[in-house]
Amino acid sequence: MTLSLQQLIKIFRDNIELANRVKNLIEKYTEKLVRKGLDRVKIMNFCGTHEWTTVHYGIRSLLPPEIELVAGPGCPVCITPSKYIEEAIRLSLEGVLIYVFGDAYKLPTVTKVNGAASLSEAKALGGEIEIVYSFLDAIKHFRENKGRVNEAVFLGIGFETTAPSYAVPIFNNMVPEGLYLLSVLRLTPPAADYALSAVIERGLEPVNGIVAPGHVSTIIGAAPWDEISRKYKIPTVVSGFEPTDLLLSIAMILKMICEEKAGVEVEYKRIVRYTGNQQALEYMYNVFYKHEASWRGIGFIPDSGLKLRDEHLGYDAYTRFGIKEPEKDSWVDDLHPSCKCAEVVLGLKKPVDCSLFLKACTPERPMGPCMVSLEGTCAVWARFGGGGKADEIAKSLGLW
Amino acid sequence: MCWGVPAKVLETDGVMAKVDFGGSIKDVLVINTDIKPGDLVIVHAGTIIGKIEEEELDNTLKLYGDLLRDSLIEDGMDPDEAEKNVREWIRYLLGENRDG
Repeated sequence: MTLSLQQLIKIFRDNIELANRVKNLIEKYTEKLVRKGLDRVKIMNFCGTHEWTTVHYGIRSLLPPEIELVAGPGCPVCITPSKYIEEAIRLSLEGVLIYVFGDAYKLPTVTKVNGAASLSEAKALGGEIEIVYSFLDAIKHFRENKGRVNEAVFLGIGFETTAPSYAVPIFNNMVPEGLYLLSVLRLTPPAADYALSAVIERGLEPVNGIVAPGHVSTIIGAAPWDEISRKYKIPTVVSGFEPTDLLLSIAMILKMICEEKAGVEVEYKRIVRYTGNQQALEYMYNVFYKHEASWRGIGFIPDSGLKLRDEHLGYDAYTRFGIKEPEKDSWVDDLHPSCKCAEVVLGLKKPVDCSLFLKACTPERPMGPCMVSLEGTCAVWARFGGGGKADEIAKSLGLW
Repeated sequence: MCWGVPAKVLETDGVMAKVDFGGSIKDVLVINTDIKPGDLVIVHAGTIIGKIEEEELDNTLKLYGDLLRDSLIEDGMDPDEAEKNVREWIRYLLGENRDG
């Protein structure tokens, strides 16, 4: 038997009957939990794509009112500190070509650099900037434009999913001379740990279950989530990204809560292994090492970032251009004073709790980083109406 | 940003691969040495991050089957009857959605 892409999509995306059956199971488990005295169940995701699926397909509206889905840190663009974007703007205006993912092109800085508060503004001022889909495309573009372009920097944003796409070409000497990587890579489990403890420290309702990121886990495996689950004594399910995947993962979490089980289970079995993608991890840690890294609006989290190892410093933009990373002692939260992105990222607040949301801050004119990336929680809610606020505003403006 | 798109591998030399995203053909980077033509894979940022295992797809549906079976038994259905119900449902899902 062979499986086609269309059949895969049909099973997990366009399958109302399966979705309805899983929805019924979720209702059953919820009733069971309510009978046991648990009438609020908070489930946190750690991936912008899961939040996108949740909002785009209206998953929240399918769940009983006792179940709350909360978006945690899951968007690398949202947590890239302003300082790195400011450095990229500066270089672009000095004639160094900057390669950037489209997702980060409009990412706003807190301080303007020569009149530009984002790479898109820098481009308008004559900055050298190219939007690319991948590091590989940047390599190709740089080779084709050698002569016209002498030096270029790839703004290396991403979580574990993206790290191998930098590590493989660097390890295999596929990167042409003159192209450098500005690694702003960040790691998900340390941020998840940070967010879960922040919820407890603030005295908010505790998180009862975790939907773990499927593609990050394709690389790192399910094992790191097992550790976190056991630390907080809550269940985790590594989930796929189709709507039925997510519903099935929620049902599995609720079942585990009913059975008072902590630990990790994998729903996204078709690609995630417990130990991850060993070859990808070897590439990653041959090229990078972990360091205590800064997260936008949040500060420093131990072992949460990746830096190039000494033997690969020939590709390092920090070394080549003398760029200094933010320092812990002088760290200042790098958000607009009214912006609630840091709390939204940590799952402590919802986009609708921010006074700027869809008023001063919109996808067209983002003020906070969560309104930029397609998978930023604020941007997703703004586009698809996550919290009802969008409906209210649209009604008040007479759009409906 | 961790968006992953399923694609089918058309050819590979072990370093790069040509993949088909349902009509759009693109050259992507290969991490794993066991990737071969015909494999269904997930591509993220121009890199094949993993292979979709067909056998594991069946296991995902079995996960659902396990939940459904427990729920039917809890509702008072005879375990053999519940098992039959689950098997029929999974056969229906696979039969409806897969080439023979």
